[in-house]
This record gives sequence, structure tokens and C-alpha cells, in this order.
Amino acid sequence: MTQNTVRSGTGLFDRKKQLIAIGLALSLMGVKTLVEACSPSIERRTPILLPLDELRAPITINQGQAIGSNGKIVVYGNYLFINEPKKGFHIFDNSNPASPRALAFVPVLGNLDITVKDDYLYADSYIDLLVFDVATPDSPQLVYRAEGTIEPEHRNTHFNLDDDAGVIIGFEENSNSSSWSTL
Amino acid sequence: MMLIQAAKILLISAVLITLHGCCGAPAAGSGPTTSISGSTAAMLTYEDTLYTLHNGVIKIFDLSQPDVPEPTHTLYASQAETLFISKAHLFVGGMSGVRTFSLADPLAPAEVSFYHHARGCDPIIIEGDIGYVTLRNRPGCNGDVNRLEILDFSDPSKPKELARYDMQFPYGLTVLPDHLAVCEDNYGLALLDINWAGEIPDVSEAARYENIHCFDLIYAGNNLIATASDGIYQFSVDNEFLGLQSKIPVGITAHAATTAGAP
Repeated sequence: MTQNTVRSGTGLFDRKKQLIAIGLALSLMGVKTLVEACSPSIERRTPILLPLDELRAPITINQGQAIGSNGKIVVYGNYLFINEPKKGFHIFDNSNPASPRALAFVPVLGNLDITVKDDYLYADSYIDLLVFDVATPDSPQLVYRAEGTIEPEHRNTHFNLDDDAGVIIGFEENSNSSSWSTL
Repeated sequence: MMLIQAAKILLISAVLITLHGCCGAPAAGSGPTTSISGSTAAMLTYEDTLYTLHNGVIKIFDLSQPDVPEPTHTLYASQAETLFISKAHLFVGGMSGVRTFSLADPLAPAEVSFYHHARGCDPIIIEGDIGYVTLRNRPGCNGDVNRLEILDFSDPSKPKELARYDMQFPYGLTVLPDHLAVCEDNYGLALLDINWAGEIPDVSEAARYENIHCFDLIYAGNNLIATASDGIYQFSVDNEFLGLQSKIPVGITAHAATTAGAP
């Protein structure tokens, strides 16, 4: 069983590290019933990393654009803030709910949640928390980035990676994709 | 009929919104304004504190200096998915139950109860003393039921189950003046009548909008916003009659007009 699950030539793991990872996975099997995580947690897959300088590259606000997919929404006064999962958030003028008007799209990598208080919008960006001044909602301004303050979906240490290697944003498709239920 | 107390709170909220012409928590006067979130929110503020929930960890930020949030405490809430704040308490909805924290010290929430329910994903909302929880049998969530649970949270440290109501695929929810609105994804938007006349609340379906495949709801200022995979719908609410005001298209429909006809 273990031989079949080893992926060779990953480039990120040498043989020894793979064996450590398998050992970790097998030891975690013992606590499977305690964990029962929503998403399968596989330490043998090959992570895709987003370098930190790309995560923290300058943000260019776009004019309103079509929404590709929608996540969570917040209402703030006459405005709607609509998350597009992992992409950022759209801002609409909703003064007239019969004809909401697209104002801006703010690209925020990894964004899933937003909330607004006193004209400051807080948004997650993978492991960072961003603060935008939205006093003028058609031209929000990034005013602060609290780096590394959000719990990551996948901890780098589980993959024997330093935190400064980047953020794990997914896994290579040809990785072993078995889940807990098939272990 | 909804609980009279809940109706009163809604009425008071409506008056406050009318008086101050703004949104958010029913803060007095020209105090802070806060956005209104749907039931699936995982990031909320309370007073000068921000709560973020990601991957089973609640990070707490001090917003004394609002443009420089400072991380302070961390709470571990494995399998938690949603946050709701009411009555100076933080309610954390998760796969196995509802964890309730007192926000007497907003920067250091203290757990006061854990209401264990059947396995299933999803949110809790609180209206007055009543909690409404949906449990949904989503693949990957180890769920085994699809139902609404109504809980008595008059004492947040001792939540009590009042009623169960089987549903098809309940997800996000919100309280309307006369109904409880529950998204059921492909099964549509259900408006439930909750009769409090008897010893236990009696739930029945008042209306179902089958074409609104929504996953979450926000109700603010007689405007019901339903987020669905094909768009963001806005309705005026008149008892169980929803009047479509607009649809912001999403996905493959996003290139169509920004408003649409009847649902």
C-alpha cells in the first residue's frame, strides 16, 4: 500500500522526506476519527506555492466587471460588497435595489471573507489580513496589510516547507489524490 | 407568526434604520456603522474587535486603531464554519454543534456552552432568544441529516432544543418579518411559518421559490438579498410574497443584462 502511494520525482521531497511524510500520514490515520476534517488532508500531494512577493504585489483597482462566481456578500449603507471566491471583491452602488450599479472590482488573491466597520473594509488574502479605506467606495484604497495573521488552509510545516517558501494554494493535479476515506 | 419578541426587535431595528438612515448593528446615535453579513459569515466585528474564522481557527484583532488591526488572541474551534454575533455573544456554527462565547471582554471571548447536534455543515443565526440552525448533508462534511433546528438561547450558557424540522438541503437563512427564510440550493428558497402558540414551535412551509437556487440571505431595510450560483437577487418582502427588484448576473449569465424578469 505504501509503495503505491509514493510519488517519485516531486522535486520538493527527496525519498527520505517522502518516507517521513508517509509515516506522518499513517500516524495521522490513528486519529482519523478524531480529525474527520471537511476537506481531505493529504500530506503526500505536491503543493502549488504562491510566492509571497506575488501574494503581496501592488493591487490595481479595476472598474466594475462581470462577476465570475459569487461568494459571501455584505451590505454597507447603500453599497454591496460581493466576494468572488479567491479572486477579490466587487463593489456595487445599491442605492436603488432595482438597478444596482457596478463600481469597482478589487483583486485580492485568496479572498473569501469581507466585513466593513466605520469605512474600513477588512478582507482576508490567504494568510494576510488587508484593510481598505472604503469611504469613497468607487475608489477603495489599501491602507494596511497584517502579514501572516490568518490561519492557512495548509500549513507549510506539514510539507516540510519554510513559511517564506510561499502560500500553498493547491496541489498538482497528478498528485496522489486519495482522501482519508480511502486510506 | 414569528415570536412576538422577535417581531418587536425587528420593528425597533426598522425604526432605528429609518431614523439614522444607515445600516448595521443597531448602534445608537451617530456611532459606528457596521456592515450586515449573511448567515455564512466568517469575519465579523463587535465593538472594536474583529473576529476571523479560517480553517478551524478564530483569530481576534484589536481595532482600537482601525486601520492597523492588531492580532491579539487565538481561539481553536475545529470544524467551525460560521460566526454570528448577538446579545454580546459570539455564536460559532460548526459541523458538530454550536459553540457560544461571551463577549463580556471582546478581546478574550469565554466559552459558555457547546450545543452538540447531529453532524452536518452550517450556520446558526440568533433572533431575540431563539437560535435557528441548519444542518445540511453536504458531501465531505460527514453529515447525516438535512434539517432545521430551533433552539432556546435565552440563557446562552444553557441552550435547549425546541424543535426539529426536516428539510431537503438547508443552507443560509435569515429572519423576515413574518417568516424564516431558508436557502436550499437547487431546491429553492423556502419561507417557513413558525407558529409559537403551542408548547413547542410548529414549523410549516408557507411558500417556496423553486427557481431561486440560493445559498445565503441578507435582509436589510425590507430588501431581501439572495445569493445564488447564477446571480444575486433582490426582493421586496410582503408577507410570503417576494417581489423581484433586480438580479446581478453571475457566471455564464453575467454577460446578460444586469436586471432580469420574474424569478
